[in-house]
Amino acid sequence: MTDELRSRMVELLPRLRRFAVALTGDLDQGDDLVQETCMRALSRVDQWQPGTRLDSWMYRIAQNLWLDRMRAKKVRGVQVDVEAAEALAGPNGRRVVESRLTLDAVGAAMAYLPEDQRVLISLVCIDGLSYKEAAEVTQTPIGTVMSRLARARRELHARLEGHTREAIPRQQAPKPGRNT
Amino acid sequence: MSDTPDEKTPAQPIGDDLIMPYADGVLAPDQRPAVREALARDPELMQRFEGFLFTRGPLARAFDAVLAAPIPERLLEAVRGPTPQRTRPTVSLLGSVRLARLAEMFRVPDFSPAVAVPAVLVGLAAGWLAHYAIGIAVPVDSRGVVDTASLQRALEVTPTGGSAKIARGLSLAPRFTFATDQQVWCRQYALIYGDGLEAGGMACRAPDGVWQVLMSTPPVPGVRAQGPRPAGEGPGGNTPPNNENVLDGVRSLFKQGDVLGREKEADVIKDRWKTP
Repeated sequence: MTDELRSRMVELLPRLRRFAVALTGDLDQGDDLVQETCMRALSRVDQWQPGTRLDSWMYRIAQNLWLDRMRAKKVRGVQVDVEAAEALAGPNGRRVVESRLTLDAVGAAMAYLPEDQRVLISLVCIDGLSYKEAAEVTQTPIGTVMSRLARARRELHARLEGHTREAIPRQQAPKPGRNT
Repeated sequence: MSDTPDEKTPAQPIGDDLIMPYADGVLAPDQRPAVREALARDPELMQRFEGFLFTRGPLARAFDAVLAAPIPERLLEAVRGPTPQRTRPTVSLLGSVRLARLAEMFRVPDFSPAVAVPAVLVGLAAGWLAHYAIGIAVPVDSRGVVDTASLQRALEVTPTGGSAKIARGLSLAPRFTFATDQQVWCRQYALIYGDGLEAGGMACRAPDGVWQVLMSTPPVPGVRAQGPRPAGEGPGGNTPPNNENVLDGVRSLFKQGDVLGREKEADVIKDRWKTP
């Protein structure tokens, strides 16, 4: 049972890693999160019910660990990765608009989003989960998932395409927080 | 106007709750015409629609590199445990007597005149096993571009006759699936490069579910015009490349019974490779 579970976890690692990098906006931090997630999952393997989706369970663990980490950061006064956010701006403060998005650009744009929206973007837009599956992972009503997701996608599109608005000046990056 | 988007009325407001599912292709068919019409007449709605498309395509593709990147050893170890615990089973996968026979085979030139021994990338001496039998951190194609997680998944779920992309410009196509007399499942496969080169390999599934690459051959120009063969079928009239001759010889040595046919193989994959 444990061997089979470990094998399935290995299969899941590339997706889990992508999810973690999308959340953290950083490869190393993403790997730290994946490692912590795997260790947490293995230590609580009795809580996973065979027959249920392993990916949803692992995503939920990763999400909760990351949210805990973000809350701890806020307590310490770290609000946003301004350096990453500023990567969006070109030499003249112009927003970078590229035909092919880079990971850095997407990560920087996502850094502006509240955590709950970042989770939904990662689950639905990047990993391809359905709204319902994302609702199960985040344990949020599906209507709330859809409204938060739509808001997040509009914001991301505006930032990455740079063709709608300059809502937030460069030096006044928003403070990420749970959105309702 | 109604606040309930589910109502079908001509004045139904078209908002994100309809446009986003439409862009994602999950809106109910009976609701699509109203959205289409609204998008056609309202540029602002069209811009929102394009935004939703954008965040489903280009946004996700930016993460393709992460998905295809090799999995760091520390993450694999976090799941599987320390490496030393999984190096030992490999040697016993095929049995020491067979390994000795195999090593002997590669030293004896009359094994097959067609076999160019130097063409075999990886030897089968004990030193090779000690290094490569880890099967996790070591790149398994000679160009070093395959991450093991993709390879593991490809070997685990891809039927013979199919192929699975395991890296940019590189696919794995299982050729044969068979069991050894050590009650171990093994698969012979081809690694097909986008530039027309083809390598081969053989991997066996350890008791912990990890596919361990026991042998791999270097990329050579592909000589086969046809695609991957269905399960159980041989190479047909074409002459296989020397590298594949080597792999065929190794397979013959270790195989017990026939290679699996398509249906039997599908059952084995579905049962997650239960012991033969």
